[in-house]
Amino acid sequence: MAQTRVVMAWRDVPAIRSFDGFRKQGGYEAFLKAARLTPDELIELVKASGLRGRGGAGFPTGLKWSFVPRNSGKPKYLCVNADESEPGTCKDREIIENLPHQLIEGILICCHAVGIEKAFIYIRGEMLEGYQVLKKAVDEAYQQGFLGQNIQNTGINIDVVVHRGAGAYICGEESALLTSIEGGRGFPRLRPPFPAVEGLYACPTVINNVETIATLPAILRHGAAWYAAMGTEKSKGTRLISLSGHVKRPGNYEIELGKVTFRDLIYSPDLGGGMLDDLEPKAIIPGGASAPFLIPAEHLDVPLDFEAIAAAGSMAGSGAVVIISEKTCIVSAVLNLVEFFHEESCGKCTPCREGTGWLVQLLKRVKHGEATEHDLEVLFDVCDNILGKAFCPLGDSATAPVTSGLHYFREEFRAFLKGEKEKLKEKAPTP
Amino acid sequence: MSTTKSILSEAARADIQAMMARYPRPQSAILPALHRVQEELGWVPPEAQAEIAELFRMPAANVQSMVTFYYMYHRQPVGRYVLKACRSISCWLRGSEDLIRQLEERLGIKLGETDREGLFTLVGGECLAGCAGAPVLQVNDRFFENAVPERVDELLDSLRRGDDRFPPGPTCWRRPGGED
Repeated sequence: MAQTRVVMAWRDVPAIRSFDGFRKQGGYEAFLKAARLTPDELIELVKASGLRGRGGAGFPTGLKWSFVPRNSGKPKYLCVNADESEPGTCKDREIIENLPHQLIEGILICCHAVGIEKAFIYIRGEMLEGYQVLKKAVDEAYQQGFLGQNIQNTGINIDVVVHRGAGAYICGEESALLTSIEGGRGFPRLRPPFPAVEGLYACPTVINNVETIATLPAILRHGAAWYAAMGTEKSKGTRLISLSGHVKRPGNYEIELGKVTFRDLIYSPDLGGGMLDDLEPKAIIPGGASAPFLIPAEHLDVPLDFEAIAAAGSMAGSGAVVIISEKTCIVSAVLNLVEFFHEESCGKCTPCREGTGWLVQLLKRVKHGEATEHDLEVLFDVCDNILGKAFCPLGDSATAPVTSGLHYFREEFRAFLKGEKEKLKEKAPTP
Repeated sequence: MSTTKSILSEAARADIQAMMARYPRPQSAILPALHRVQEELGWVPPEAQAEIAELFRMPAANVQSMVTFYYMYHRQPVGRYVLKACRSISCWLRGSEDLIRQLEERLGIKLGETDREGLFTLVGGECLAGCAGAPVLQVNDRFFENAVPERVDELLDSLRRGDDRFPPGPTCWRRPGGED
């Protein structure tokens, strides 16, 4: 089982990070092709390709663009979400650090399709190296006339600002990202109005993930039909999977959607290369920390696409697959995941701010052998009081590892209850 | 500008003014401006927050609320090298707790502390997007991947010598070389 490289096709081309290297490979030709199409034709083309957002929600990209009103009389904006911070996910960083001009070319294509003249790339503050690479590429693009006024005599004007975040997971949530660019604390906003109508500075705004944008040049180059021929009926094309955890070869792998199973991903010599120390897998997180666990006994042969993973009871999310081996204590793993959400809760709404703290306390009680059967019920109860009641998806996400962990590993949780701990001592699992 | 002496250099103030001009609304430049402050001073002291508030024509409390919300801004002086160890799931599975223990032991400080010489500050981070190279440590925002405890001594030694190149070892992905 090999990779299918579309976004990453030029990943290993020497000097591809520089403008000259990118241009020599044929870079920016896709934009010039797009510039000869009308915005409507371009949106139709992206719709026909079947491309869906690669950030987490998987919303059809062309459709999202078509929601932006044409003549609102306000400026329109593109915000590229490069605030990659979903635990397990490291694909956007690889794109940014290695293919910065491809990202810029994608931005040009999106901006032309929607009639946008100003784009922001919101990059995680922690990605200093990525920021520097991107900044340099943007400067080069300006110098070479691929950004700025009347780009290559097409009459198209596009300005790009690379904007550094400063450490807040919540800013990856699209409405919080907008608040952050506006210069506020990264609090999410109520929807509607949706960003397409009232986003940045209350103007129509498109927010797309780095990988989504970086896929556009290939679609222009090869055509919508070519892209749509890959993948499944509803999950078309390829996507990058960030594979991490207990596998021999962690890494970013680009696969055709629906054609690779978790078994392939873990064991194929070209992909995960097998389990670390040849242990057995115990749990799979299929789409970043916000995605409920799957288990090998039931889900190893589930293919990686949006629908199949949803049908299995989880979500494809950000494309981050974390493999957890049999030696790992699942209670500790769940605690680690929930501590993350508690730490990163923005504090705006009570269910998330307080609820995640309660979950942490309860899980610590379990881990330290102080919990009773009743506490496990309280865990469910707290989850129930967060789920659907938090202001944004962060709160819901915090419940996913708890409820799915209790669902699949209830006996292991029980083994930690008061009085049960001694029985477990001899095989005390460690991460 | 008021009569109080500026804590920021003229160059930094000019950079911040230029940043403000890049956005439809100047307030959008607050995060980049605070990064610029930290780049110059190593942290974001209250005096600098007050100066930023003046530049942005906003209440000082608003600036403070930004500095406390976004955890990358240091509210007290830090060591020459800020070591940020990722604690999130992928790194945790690959031994981030061992890494942090090793760092704490070798540096004689706990997470969140700075050593007596002011050379190292050790902090915990949340998923740094280096999951394929777990466990991950950042040294002044540069990625040191596969930061297994066995590589810690060598890293600390070279940093103590003032050499901030990382000791050789596996990294998560290769960079195309040559052009820069």
